[in-house]
Amino acid sequence: MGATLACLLLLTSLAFAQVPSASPVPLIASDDSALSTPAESLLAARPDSSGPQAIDSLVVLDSPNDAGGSLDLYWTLSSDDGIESGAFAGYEVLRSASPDGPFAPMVVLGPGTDRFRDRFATVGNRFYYMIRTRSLGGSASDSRIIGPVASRGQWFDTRRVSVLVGLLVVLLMLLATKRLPVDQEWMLPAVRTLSEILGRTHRGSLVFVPGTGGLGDMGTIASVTLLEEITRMPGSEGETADVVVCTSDPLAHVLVVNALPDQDVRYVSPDRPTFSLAFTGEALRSPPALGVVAGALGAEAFLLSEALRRSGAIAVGGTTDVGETPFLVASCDLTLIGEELLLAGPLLSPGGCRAAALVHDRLKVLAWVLILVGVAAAKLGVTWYLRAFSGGGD
Amino acid sequence: MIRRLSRPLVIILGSLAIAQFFVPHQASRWVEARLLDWLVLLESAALVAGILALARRHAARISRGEGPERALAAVTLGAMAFMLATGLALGTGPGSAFGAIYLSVLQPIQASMMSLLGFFMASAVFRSFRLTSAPATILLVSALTVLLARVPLGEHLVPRISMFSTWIIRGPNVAATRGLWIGIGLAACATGFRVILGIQGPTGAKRS
Repeated sequence: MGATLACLLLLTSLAFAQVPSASPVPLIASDDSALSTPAESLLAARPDSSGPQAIDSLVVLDSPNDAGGSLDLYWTLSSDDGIESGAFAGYEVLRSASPDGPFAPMVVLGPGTDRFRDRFATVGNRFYYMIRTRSLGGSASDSRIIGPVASRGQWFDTRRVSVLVGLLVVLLMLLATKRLPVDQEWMLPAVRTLSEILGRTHRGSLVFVPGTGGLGDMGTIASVTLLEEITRMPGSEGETADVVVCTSDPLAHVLVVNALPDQDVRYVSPDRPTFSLAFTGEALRSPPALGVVAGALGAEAFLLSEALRRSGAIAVGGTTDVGETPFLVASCDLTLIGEELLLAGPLLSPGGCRAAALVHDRLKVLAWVLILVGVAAAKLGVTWYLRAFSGGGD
Repeated sequence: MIRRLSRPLVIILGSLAIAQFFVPHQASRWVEARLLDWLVLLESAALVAGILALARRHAARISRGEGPERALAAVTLGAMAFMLATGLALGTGPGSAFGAIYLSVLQPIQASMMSLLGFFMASAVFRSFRLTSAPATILLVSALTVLLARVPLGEHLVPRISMFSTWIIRGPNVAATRGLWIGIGLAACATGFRVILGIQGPTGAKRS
């Protein structure tokens, strides 16, 4: 059922993606035609009858998918634009709060330009626009005045329909995890190795660093989740407590203290080099048997893992930062790369959490199918499919 | 009581954070700004809690510890107290004693620490690039190709090596990175939902 719903949602996403993203806002165009309303001091040249051909169609639309404060102007090029190269100067965009003016020039655009985005159209205000075509000789012609138009914020970013559908697919698959068989044999190799290492390590000699990033980073969340599972797993002598946790981010520290009140949680420093310095000193003075450095990490990842190595400990690294991964791979005995770190906690836990981790495999299959269809679409020139997954990045 | 409240709070605030991504309206921006304000407040309170925990731990070390542990704890607490007093008494603006101590003491110490990266890298590379298996051999050959291509001598020794280097960086490297990103993105999405829904997470989530 989850898969069926996923397919339905995807199809909906694709259907939405074909709808033009810009939603036109009804405009009120002025009845005045070829009205010349120069601003008193700002306009150097006055419109005259000998000027270049005025544009005959100007459309002003509210910019789509924004918080308001922006209007899009479109016009057809003047018939003089491009005919006599060098004589046509360009288009001057003028704006006023009243149809009677004064119209203030906003920008002068070169020949061949047929659009402009006014990013200073304050929400709640109404504006009137006019395009003045200019020649190099100084003559000018005005378009009709368009307005009043006002910008407003939108309640949904239509470019992000595919992202929303993707999220709903993940959500539905997670909610359907109760129907998934909890396959005890399914396990990421790196997580299985970590489980074996943990089973052979006395907890009192385990040091854990839940990254140096904040709670805004998913790596930190995954790391603290992994830490929780580690404290529940029995160690080499059946014990389940006494993990030394060194934290850098204040919020992560409070989170760990609350989640694991029985553990030795040490706040070291919010400053990453200082944290590395203090951790290195601690690791070299009191070498642990096993050190886990996992979470959101920067350049200090290498320093921390090398400190563990030099202290003689087994070093386990994990990060969601692709840039830091090679350093951890080079310096750690075991590295949880990207998704392995994010899935390590659920995979080490029993029951439903573990089943939830299994969803990841199905999501990857779905992603592969979408990618392969995307490759085919790109080859066949099916652009709407590619646009559907553009995600509406700014 | 607080733990009982935390679950609905996580669900509501988590949903708001997700919704904010899809709603460009100014109301959404307003909510986002308020959430960020709360985050700053929470972080400030957490920082105080962290500093208190740090001070308590080092005070305990001084009372119980021996030898270097006690001395190091005393130096840490002394430095904290000194910087706090300097900042409160003389200010923390540009040109202040607080800033001068930071620039002339702490920054050089930090720079020294980070400069170790170069040496650590060299030793890690030496350890990693051993012909112990087929993947290690591929790693070694790829790394040597990229390294050689970056120096003038490389092109002199092996003509057109920069072409192979560029292919490695733009081909297999980019493919692997994108593969990682796809896996991370999907897993991060599922992790976020697991935390918000209380299936699992570091906020006292329910256990199966």
